[in-house]
Amino acid sequence: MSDLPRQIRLAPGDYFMHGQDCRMRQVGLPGNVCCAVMKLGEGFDAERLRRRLAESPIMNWLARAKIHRTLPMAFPPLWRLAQKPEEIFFTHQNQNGVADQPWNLPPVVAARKLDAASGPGIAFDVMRHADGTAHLFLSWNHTHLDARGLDFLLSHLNADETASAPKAPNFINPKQLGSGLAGWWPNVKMARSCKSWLDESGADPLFSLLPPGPRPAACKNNYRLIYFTEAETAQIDARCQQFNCGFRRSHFYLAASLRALHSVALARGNQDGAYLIPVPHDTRKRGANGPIFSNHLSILFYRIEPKFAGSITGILGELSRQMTNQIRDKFPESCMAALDMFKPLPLGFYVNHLGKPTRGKFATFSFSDSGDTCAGMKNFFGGKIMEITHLVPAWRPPGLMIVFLRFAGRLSAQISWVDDCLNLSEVDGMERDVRRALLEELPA
Amino acid sequence: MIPETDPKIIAAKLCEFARTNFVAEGVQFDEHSPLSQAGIDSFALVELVLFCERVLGVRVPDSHLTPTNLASMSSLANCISELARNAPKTT
Repeated sequence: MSDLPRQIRLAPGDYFMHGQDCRMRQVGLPGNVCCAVMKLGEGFDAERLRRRLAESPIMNWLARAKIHRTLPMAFPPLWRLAQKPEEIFFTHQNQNGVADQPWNLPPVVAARKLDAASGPGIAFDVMRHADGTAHLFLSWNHTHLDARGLDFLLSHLNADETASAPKAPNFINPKQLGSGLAGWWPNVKMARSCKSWLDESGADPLFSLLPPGPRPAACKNNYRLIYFTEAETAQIDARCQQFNCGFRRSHFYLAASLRALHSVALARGNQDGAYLIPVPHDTRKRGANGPIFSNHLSILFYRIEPKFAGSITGILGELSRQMTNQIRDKFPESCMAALDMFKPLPLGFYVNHLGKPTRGKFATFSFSDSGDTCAGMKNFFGGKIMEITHLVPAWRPPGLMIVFLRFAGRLSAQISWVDDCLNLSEVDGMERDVRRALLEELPA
Repeated sequence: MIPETDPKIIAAKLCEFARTNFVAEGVQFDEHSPLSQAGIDSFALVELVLFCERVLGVRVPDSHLTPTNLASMSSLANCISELARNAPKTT
């Protein structure tokens, strides 16, 4: 790994995540910083992990990578390595409590400010419990890597204990190497179709959770975790088949989430405001050994009218139709081209162009399905992996993010929201609705 | 366009499309590989369906995207072959 580059281009997905990071900081949020929480059994060797972090060239590169911008109108932003080695944040603390839920995010983790422009964008915190178990909190700025990249990173660190761990993972996509502006003009042409699509689908009326009025100065992100047992997860899989979406489990989760939000919208008096939902999609090839670094995401936008949002069957039909049409029209490619096109321009252009079609609302909520997390990993540095949770902050706008993931045959969902966009009783209602839609509702 | 009806030729074309577009190099994948284990998701499924329309000249309706037909490329090829044979002839 000694031939890792000193600078590379941002992937289009990095640019998108960086833009969201900046927007979140404008309203007092800590930024686009995610946290993977692993509950580990007895025997977890934190000191060995610390040594591994210090020795790994990949960790060294990640810790030193920062977004660098000079002459913003002339050159695209770059990932560039800091001259001095940066130390990965690593805290290790003991707690005399129990490790059972509900647990609170330790203040040191909740307060982490991991900025892609100043680095390092990644941090590890370990909390030991009196019963011998531990929680590992791995925080990272989303601009550095996506959830799948994090999976590859954990496999790389855990190589001795992961049977299928690759010895030399693919760290950087070769397409990202180089920093020229070649191909910029064709991107402009391709980006036009994305822009016109956004203008059309973002037309009023559009339902938004954002309260009217000026942008607040100090917002807070909150999280609600919904765990399903193995039996419930198997039941949800069987119900996917009932709804004829065995290969579209993500659509089933999205339909359940949207139906739950539709109830909130109806209670707020929404009658004809449509729901606009951006859904990221991993563009890595299936079974690929990386890349670890960067965001390899294309994005599909769905606009669901309220007349479809009252039933799971209605939403699934619309999702299937719109997804097919968008892939047919090469929308994900034109969306990537649009993000690529903005890179040589000041970030304000991007924020303005993304916000303009929806008049600053951007979307109704964000949704993601991380799929199987840490598949094939049973232990991490000597401790049995008992649970994994991803805490993904809600961007503002739109103020609500729903993420599904699976670990060891168990499904979980995370609802994160910005405090001025949803209240607790609305979130309670959403949790009940999501459970009911996934486990009980019959196909129409 | 005359739709292809030979399931073996269809399966070979589907596998080639999958290897080029969404299965990583070095991953064991053939017409009998279970699609669910190969990581075929909704996105890949739609790409496959559109490939069938564009290159094989067969439109696969949603109602045919059943677990049995999507077990492997071989079973999908059989389904497509059946649809091609029953498609109305156009000149």
